[in-house]
Amino acid sequence: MTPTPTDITEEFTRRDWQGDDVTGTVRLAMIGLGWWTRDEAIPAVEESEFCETTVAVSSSKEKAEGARELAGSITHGLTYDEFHEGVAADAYDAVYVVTPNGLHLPYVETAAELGKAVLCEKPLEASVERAEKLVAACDRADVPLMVAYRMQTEPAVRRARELVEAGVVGDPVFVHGHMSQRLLDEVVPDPDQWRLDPELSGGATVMDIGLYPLNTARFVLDADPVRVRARARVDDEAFEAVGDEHVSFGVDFDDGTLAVCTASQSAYQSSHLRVTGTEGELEIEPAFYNRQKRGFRLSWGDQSADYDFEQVNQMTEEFDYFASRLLTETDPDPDGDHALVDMRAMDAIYAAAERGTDVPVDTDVDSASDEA
Amino acid sequence: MQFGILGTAGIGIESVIPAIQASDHAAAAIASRDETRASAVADEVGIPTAYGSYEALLADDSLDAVYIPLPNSLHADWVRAAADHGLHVLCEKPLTASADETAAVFDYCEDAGVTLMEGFMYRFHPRTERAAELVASELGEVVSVTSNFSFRLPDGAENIRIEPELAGGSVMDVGCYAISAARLFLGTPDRVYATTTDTRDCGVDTRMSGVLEYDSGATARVESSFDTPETQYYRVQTTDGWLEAKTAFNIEPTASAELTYATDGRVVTETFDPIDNYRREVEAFARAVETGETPRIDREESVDLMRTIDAVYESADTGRAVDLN
Repeated sequence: MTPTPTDITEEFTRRDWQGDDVTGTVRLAMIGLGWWTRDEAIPAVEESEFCETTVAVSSSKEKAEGARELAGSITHGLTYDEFHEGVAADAYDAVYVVTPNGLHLPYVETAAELGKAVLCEKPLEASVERAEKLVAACDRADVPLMVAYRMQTEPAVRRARELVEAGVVGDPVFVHGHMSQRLLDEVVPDPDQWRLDPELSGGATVMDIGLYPLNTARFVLDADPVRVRARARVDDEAFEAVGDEHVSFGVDFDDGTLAVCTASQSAYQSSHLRVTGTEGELEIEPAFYNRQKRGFRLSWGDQSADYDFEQVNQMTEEFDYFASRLLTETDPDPDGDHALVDMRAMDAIYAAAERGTDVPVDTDVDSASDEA
Repeated sequence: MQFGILGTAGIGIESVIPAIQASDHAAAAIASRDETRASAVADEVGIPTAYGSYEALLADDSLDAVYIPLPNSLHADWVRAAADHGLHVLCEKPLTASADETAAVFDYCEDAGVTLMEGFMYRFHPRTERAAELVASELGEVVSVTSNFSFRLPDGAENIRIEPELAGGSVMDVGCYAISAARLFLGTPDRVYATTTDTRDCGVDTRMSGVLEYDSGATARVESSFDTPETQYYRVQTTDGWLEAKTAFNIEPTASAELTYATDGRVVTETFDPIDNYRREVEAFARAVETGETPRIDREESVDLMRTIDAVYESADTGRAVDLN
């Protein structure tokens, strides 16, 4: 029997991915101690069931050692050089890489060589080529690689995916996605930050936040992008080097769904994802900010339902998912190949914005990463 | 089906006649004791035939059914008269003024071979159907129901709602909805306690507050009055959560309806598109006539509702709990 909306949304925040057989703790090394690691990641690990932070890695010994204050479980503070040398490698099982995008590769390479599982922040790297090398390094060393798309363990998004799969909205026709924030005014008030350096970030808006509607749409639809079109505009000179401050892009998916997404690093904080099908509609709004309560509305037939559910810490869900996969020796998703599709799609979006034409997305990731 | 309308009551003109006209059926004739009024209303609402007496309408061979929105005390006699003419009957709530009389008119209609249904339109609203389904299947065991239908009846108005001879009163007029809702979620109570007040010295209750008690341990609190701003709701408390509807009974066909419920750590508000529940009532009645199936609001429901109302009055009169078993 096809599950009903009521069946699917029962125990809204259930961890459908967590089996009964998970025991143990995964010890994490945090690579990079920026605000995200300090304010979001380490506190989220503190709340988790299956993880603890044991090692903090940063540019200076002082900063790394100072991280001990953030969690009682932290036993080692290492410099980046010490990490590359394999210092205290027995003190952690996995790494969480949260450096600037363009610096993911060397830390992931070292982690892979040390045989550590990798949880790497999105986007995978600053360019497709470097991202391919990153995936190849993990493949070579046969270490698990998960990319930290926290929306994929957000209950609202998982329930949306289940509702779409059950056909509750009919066949998906359109996706509308949006994410915006005021990066310089409210998030990181520094015009010299790495996100605005194309070498380190690969792009400021598509790579950092445009990725949310793109990847979440892929996950909810269980479909991949095949063709994109895009526009980008810069108002603030701080964004001139990267070239993308406000962005709109269209994505054609391989299941026929058409998506329109917008993203900005200099617009009022807002986020949503809407899937309109032949028979109904799903709306997650607000959608993509861990700090904003997620809203969820399902409309079908002659009725709509607004769900008010217990909010989870997305980062705690993500860490526990990653750890539970490692503890049960199961490959975690989203993996490197999944993330490479986004890298190619974003590369195509930047190309489309520059050329003003449609650009096809090369989704044949397996062969590409094998060659790298 | 060709419907005849007995009387020119507002609910007929404003709600049920337009509902019949919007359906696949027809409002073919209307009767009033005042022929001029019958003709004027027929012209106004677009009914082809007007009669100056209810008897004359019942004798019209082209009709299949009648809709009765007369004052409560007149329902039983005209249901019987319609049945005598082989007409199926959709009669406004409350069906009669007592459980015995309700059972008697059902006997009468069964003998005459016609379908009789009491008109509680809210039972045909998709929101009510969904509420019943959720309570039956999703929310655990019902612990209590609270329901109220009250509004302010203007002072000094000559009004059938407060005439003792016409079986007026807040219970008969709107409290029956609150009791109907309690029954929808909990069934027929085992004991009833109630108190009523006649704040206008008019000979009928203008306020009622009652407790319905069930042997299972569940309870319902039901209220009605003519002395407050309009309020109409039900709230169901269950072992796993709760469910609540506002504007629960008489909702405009142009208004969307909300139903909120909580269970399993989530609160869900479902919104239903505007719908004419009178039309759904008319269509369900006509379908029951055509198929010979028992209508959704059947004899048992109407008789047991009236038994509960009888018990409310008896308890209010005697100051004691009334056993229904």
